[in-house]
Amino acid sequence: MDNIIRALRAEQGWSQAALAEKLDVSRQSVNAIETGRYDPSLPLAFAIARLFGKSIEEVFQDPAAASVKAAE
Amino acid sequence: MAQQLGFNAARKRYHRVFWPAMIAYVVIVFAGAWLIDKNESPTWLAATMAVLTALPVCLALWAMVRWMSETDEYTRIKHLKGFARGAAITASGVFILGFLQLFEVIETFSVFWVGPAFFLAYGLATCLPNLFGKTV
Repeated sequence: MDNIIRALRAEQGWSQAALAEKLDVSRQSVNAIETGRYDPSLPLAFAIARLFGKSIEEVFQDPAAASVKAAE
Repeated sequence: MAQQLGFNAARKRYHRVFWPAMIAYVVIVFAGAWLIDKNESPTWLAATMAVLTALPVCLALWAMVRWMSETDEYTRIKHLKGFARGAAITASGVFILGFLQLFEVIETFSVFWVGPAFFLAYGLATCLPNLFGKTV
């Protein structure tokens, strides 16, 4: 799943460790989510979106849905 | 499954059990070495010291499993996979050695090494995927 967490984090001037602290997860978790190596659960995805004041759809993009949309 | 506490609270709870258990382990190991004489100590004393020495390790193992249940989701899945792979590797090794022993290819192997072998396999199975970019 693609996401714009790195850009949102940069806007806020937060390090991965600072974001991890706010979400109460490990820094490795933030890194894995940012780089797309781990897809968070819905509660964590909601928490991330809430922290940046955005909706889940704004933060996370489903590449499969984007390709379906492009085919239409 | 235990209630999820989040990364920081789970880590604190883990350290509160793990480090006292490890200190107790070291103290009991030295006490055992000082108290037990293989030739002269009665069996009951040797058995008591053996069980007492193992107990802190069992406690630390329980704390690890509790920590995995309570920590954040990514850390949990990463360590549970490492734990499962470590257990599978160790069990495979034990089966191989067991059959080698059964068919009298080897004499005996010390059961004591199963525990350290598991912790080594767990550690490697948790860390090695990171080197190849696979984290979970």
